[in-house]
Amino acid sequence: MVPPDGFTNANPNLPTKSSEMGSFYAVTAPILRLPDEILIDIFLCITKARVPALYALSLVCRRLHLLIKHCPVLWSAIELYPRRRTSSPIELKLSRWLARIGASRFSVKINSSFPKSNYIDHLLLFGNDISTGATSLITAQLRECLHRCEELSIRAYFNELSDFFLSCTGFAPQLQKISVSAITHNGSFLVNEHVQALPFLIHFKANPGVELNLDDCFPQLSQSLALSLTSLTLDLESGRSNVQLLSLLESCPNLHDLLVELGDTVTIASTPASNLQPSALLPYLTSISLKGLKNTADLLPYLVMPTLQYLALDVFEPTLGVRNALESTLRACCNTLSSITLTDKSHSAHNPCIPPVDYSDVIDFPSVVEFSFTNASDFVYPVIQKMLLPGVENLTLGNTAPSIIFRLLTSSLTIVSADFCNTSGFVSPWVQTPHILPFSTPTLRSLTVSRGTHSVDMLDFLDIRSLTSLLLIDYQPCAFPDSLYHFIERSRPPLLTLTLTNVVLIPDEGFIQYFRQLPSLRVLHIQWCSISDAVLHTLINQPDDEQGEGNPPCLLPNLLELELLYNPNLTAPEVVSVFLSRKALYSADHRFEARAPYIRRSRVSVSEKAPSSISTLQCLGVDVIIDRSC
Amino acid sequence: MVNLVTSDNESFTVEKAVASRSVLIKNMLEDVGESDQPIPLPNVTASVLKKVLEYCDHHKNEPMPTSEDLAAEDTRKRTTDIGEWDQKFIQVDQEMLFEIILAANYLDIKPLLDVGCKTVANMIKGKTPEEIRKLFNIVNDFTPEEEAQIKKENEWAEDR
Repeated sequence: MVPPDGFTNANPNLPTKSSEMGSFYAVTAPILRLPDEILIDIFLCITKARVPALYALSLVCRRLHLLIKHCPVLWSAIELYPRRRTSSPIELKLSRWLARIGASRFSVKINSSFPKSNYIDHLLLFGNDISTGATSLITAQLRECLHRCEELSIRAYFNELSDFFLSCTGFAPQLQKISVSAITHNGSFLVNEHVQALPFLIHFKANPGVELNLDDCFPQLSQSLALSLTSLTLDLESGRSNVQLLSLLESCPNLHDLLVELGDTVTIASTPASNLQPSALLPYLTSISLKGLKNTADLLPYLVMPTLQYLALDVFEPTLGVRNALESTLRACCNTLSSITLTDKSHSAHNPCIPPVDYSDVIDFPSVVEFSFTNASDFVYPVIQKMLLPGVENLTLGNTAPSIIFRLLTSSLTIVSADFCNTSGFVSPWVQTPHILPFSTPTLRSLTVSRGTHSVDMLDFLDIRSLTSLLLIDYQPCAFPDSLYHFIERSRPPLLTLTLTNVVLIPDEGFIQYFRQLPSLRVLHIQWCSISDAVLHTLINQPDDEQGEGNPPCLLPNLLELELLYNPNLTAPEVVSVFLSRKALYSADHRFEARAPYIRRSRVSVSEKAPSSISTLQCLGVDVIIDRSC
Repeated sequence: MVNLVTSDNESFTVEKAVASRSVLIKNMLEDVGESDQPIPLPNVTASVLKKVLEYCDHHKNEPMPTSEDLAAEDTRKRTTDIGEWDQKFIQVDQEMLFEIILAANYLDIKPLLDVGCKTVANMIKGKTPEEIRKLFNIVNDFTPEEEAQIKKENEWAEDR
């Protein structure tokens, strides 16, 4: 085993000395048989509250004291809170810390915000004056060892940040991650007024890459730092600004990952119309996520991203420019993209005008395996209708017209999981075409349908014979047998997992009809459903009409996991009787093995008014949530 | 199959895939090639090897950590999360726990060593020096003066 970096170099004699002591104590304390490098490994695992833990450990015995004191790597994550009340001045604390680190590399995290209680005290004492210069006490010391700093994270007030980076600057060849978070004492964020200079010098060819995370400040980068950036996260929550995002990206050609999140009032600077071909060439960019970007058309057309694989985009303004920008970007990256997430935040419309697919003008995405699209509107549908996703495996469509869902679902040859949500506002297209044959989707394994009965209606037109997992949320069909029942009866899917949340069936014996068709089921979760005791009883005994030779003794004979939460029609005694039959007595009486198989994992909610049922269930090993709302 | 002989001269015959979870044994097997010769493990007793082999057997189908995985591991950001099966596996008395750690180190089974280290780290977390001494049966060998001196020199580290 190679000792952790820095330890042996720091004190070459230490392992010998401490090992000698280790053998002395080994008789009574087996932990002290461990060699130093393993003890250091153990101490490194204690990531949280590391310094207090090290402090405690160093007071245990001489061996641990020497080991901890002379192992720089254990001290290499500095955390400073200038405004907390501590027993030592912050600058003294830092100097001691740096002494322990020696010549090793380190990370430093400075959080200069007030703890809540201290902030009230501070306001009482000093009013709104926050110019205490807490961070300036430590900048000089950090500047001296900046060349060994690997990670720098600072959260401070605007004026303190400026002061900090004015002093703590220079050659930082080891820097791999910088996080800067700006705060104000009264909560107002003036993004455009706070451009933070980060004047670090880095050998960008030797450095493997720098990750930069900025919260409520905009960076002004040295050329070498800009060239070193491989990951940029920019989170500007509020303010009034024209953020010069394109200019920034032009200076960072080596970016791999870009995440921009803008608040309601933040916009990026418009690209001047006179400048015909401004562009940021990002040849290595594989992932881009633009959240809250209102004027998409001022950025997207000017980004050149030949290796883009992941695209996540909010679409706001329903203008032709934005639509064209979106389409151009999708078209330009269609061969490299593997994941697309689009969220339409313009005004969505139900029963929209959806153009037909024009196969002479489609955009083919041969490599896309994940596609997510929520809140579709008239504005975006023309683009969506041009998209062909033959290789999509995971499809998430929220608040989207059923015809789009159907097209994307059935046009994929490799679909594995699908999640459809909130289609209630749409008129079902299926009622108009009742005689089409069910379309086969043989590869689909997992289906989630939430907040939309029409999505379930769609099952009438699908034949999914490999489905193993089905999750239904907020499903309340008008009559039974419903679309789901017909689907199950026709496809006979080998379902292993069924989750029903807020499913209301009238009559509720419909659940029995579901269960009867699903003998393979292993996992059943039922929450907030209309299921009654009579239905639950079929998990112990077959319904009367099914009893007889050759039939299993109960429905769902292969069930291994059962969760029953907050179902208002279930009574505690019936829940108890199910688990008495199918759980505890299994081991005590083998007759039950024949009657009903063993449920291994279970969770139920029971009213607090049924304490004896709670006790019984807990004795049976059932995880019980005590429902105090009854 | 591979034949392993422990320090107390007990013999274990196990599948090659199980034994090869140990980088030490894997390398030895590669060096000697196909052979019926038993592999001596002079630093491991039978009771400890039995436990170690139980771990190796459970994880035999998992991919071995590559040198890149190990190099990429940031030692300063380790967590103390342990898988469910591993947690149950490592519920042994302290004597056995530290013997398993030593054996994992000797046999070069990094994932098992990690499980052992994380388990001990979890035992230490949040405890005072006196509680740590009591837990691990460690004798306090400081004089009162030394203890006071150490407290003074570490005062800055006591709070955050």
